[in-house]
Amino acid sequence: MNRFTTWVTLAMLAIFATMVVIAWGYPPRARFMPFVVGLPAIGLCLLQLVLDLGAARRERLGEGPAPLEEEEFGRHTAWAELRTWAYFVAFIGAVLAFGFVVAAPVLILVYLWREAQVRPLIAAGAAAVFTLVMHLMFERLLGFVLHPGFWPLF
Amino acid sequence: MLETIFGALFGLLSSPTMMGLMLLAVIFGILVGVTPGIGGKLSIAMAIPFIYGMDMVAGAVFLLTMHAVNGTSGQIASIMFGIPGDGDDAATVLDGYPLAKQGQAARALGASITASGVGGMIGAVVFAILIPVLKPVVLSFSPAEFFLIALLGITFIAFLASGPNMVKGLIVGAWGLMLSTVGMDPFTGIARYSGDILILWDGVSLVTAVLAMFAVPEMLSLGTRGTAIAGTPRASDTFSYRQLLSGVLEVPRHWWLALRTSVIGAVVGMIPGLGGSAAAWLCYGHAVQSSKTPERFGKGAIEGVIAPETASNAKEGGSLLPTLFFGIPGSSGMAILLGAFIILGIQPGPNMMVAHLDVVWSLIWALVVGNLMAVTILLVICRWVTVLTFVNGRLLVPFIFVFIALGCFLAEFNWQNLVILVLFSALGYALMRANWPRAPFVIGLILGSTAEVSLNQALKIWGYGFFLRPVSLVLIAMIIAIVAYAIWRAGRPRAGEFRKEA
Repeated sequence: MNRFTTWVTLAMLAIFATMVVIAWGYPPRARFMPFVVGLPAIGLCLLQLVLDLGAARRERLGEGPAPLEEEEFGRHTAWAELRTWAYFVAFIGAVLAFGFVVAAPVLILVYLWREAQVRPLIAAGAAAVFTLVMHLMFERLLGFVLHPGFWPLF
Repeated sequence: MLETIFGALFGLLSSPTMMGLMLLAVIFGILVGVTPGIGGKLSIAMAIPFIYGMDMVAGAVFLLTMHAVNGTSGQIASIMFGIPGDGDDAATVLDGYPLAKQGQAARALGASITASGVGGMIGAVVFAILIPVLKPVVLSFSPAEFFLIALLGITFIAFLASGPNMVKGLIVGAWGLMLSTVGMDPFTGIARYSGDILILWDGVSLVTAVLAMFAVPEMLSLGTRGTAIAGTPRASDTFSYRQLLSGVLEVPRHWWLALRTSVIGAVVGMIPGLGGSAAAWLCYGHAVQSSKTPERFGKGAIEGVIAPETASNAKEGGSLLPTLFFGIPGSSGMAILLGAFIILGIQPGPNMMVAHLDVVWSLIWALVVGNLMAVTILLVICRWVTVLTFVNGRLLVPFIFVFIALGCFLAEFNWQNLVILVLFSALGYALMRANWPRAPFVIGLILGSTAEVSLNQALKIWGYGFFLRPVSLVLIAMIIAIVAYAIWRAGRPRAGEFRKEA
């Protein structure tokens, strides 16, 4: 059995339980919908936990189906997953800190060079062209103000 | 009525801006459809930053055209390399690839591109025909029915998208509903779950939530896998336009099959959550069953290419019906499209039939004209666009990350949305990794506010007796039937479950 799914069930249970507890503090009309949804959802999460436990027990007893092929995600992909996540979170952090015009080319350059094995010069060129097009299209042509960052460099 | 119908067509054809936008959408849709790893969902997510400030009709036409064209170009890799771009194209491989191996790749491509275009147009026509039929039905629904329809929509999608794990689908649907309660309560004015964060007083941004649940997890997955079709040899290098033309002519030669499978595809598309792969496989099976020589299928029968292609594209027209008139997207791609429609100011619901019928007709014509454009362009360039199937997925990841962040920021011009994007992406990725369905979340989030208002109105008018209204009883019976069937199916011994998310 995929144990990760049980963790997801527990996370969902925690989310629903927290939201229902918070809703207790609202006036009756405001908490009506959160209760209508949240209480049955807590019941469903508990039911899913029971189903997960049943599946785990069957697996221990050797009654579950044997996996035919390696799963798409697992320990073998953990490092690659973490790396991709790191790029994503760092990019959003960089957008917040320094703005789109700085974060976008840095992400494109580093990712293409390190992950897609593109030559640094080509990656830099792609990053520069993309940033120029983004700036011209959104800021000049459409007149949008893209997030400049809390510590803008330009 | 006729004025609205043909006024929308005239408005589309006589406006150079609209035609230019559609041409752009067709080209973009073709390129994205051929490129591995980018499906219809991501292409719309990428296009969201460009629709801000656009006119309502222009933006909707642009996005729908692009979404519709995605499927038309997606089958090229299926035929040339035997590798389906997505679930919709898997049925095409069965006969398309053997045809390519026999040196008839151009014939198979000609037939599939034409069939796909014809399917898309017939799907739009089926939708158009159903509008006057359904109008009185949709308009007769009261708040009680709308609340129950919201529950039915979530149950239906949870059932179809989760297979034997319906409970997971229901939990995710409930999570969407719960999230829709974030923000100012419509009755008391209390800010629920928002604290002092002003941005949350208007609720969670639909675009941010949808991007976080679908686009970001798909990109993270692509970055992890780095998929590319490169390395798979082509089945054949022979390609001639004479052969391509013979393939095109196969569709009128099998017009009765094309018409039947298009109508089946459109009807399947109307059922939320069933998706294009179900339509394609259903129609492939229909083609085999109705053939006098079923033994040819799987070895290069041209009907085996025509049937799934017409069906998978015809379903786009059908899925517009629940999306526009009930706010229940027919698929996860349609869910993102729905989010984009809301940004443009299109509020789905029965009011679309009364106040915005011109927009509905513009969308129908966009499907027809867009498919015509796509077929014409693809027949000319299909020989060369196959090169895109060799693109390494990792080359696209950083660019799409930027587009996702732009779409999320521009949704409300708030940097806080980027923080919410990261938080929700963690949950979206966890759901994807644990094989939980994500489509019910979007339905819950979209229908949540309607469900809450409808429930309160129904209780005010009828009290708890609203459950006993005739239509309510039918809807409740349908919900119970779905749940009962899911329990029965889960308890039955299974051989080879294959359910995937719609």
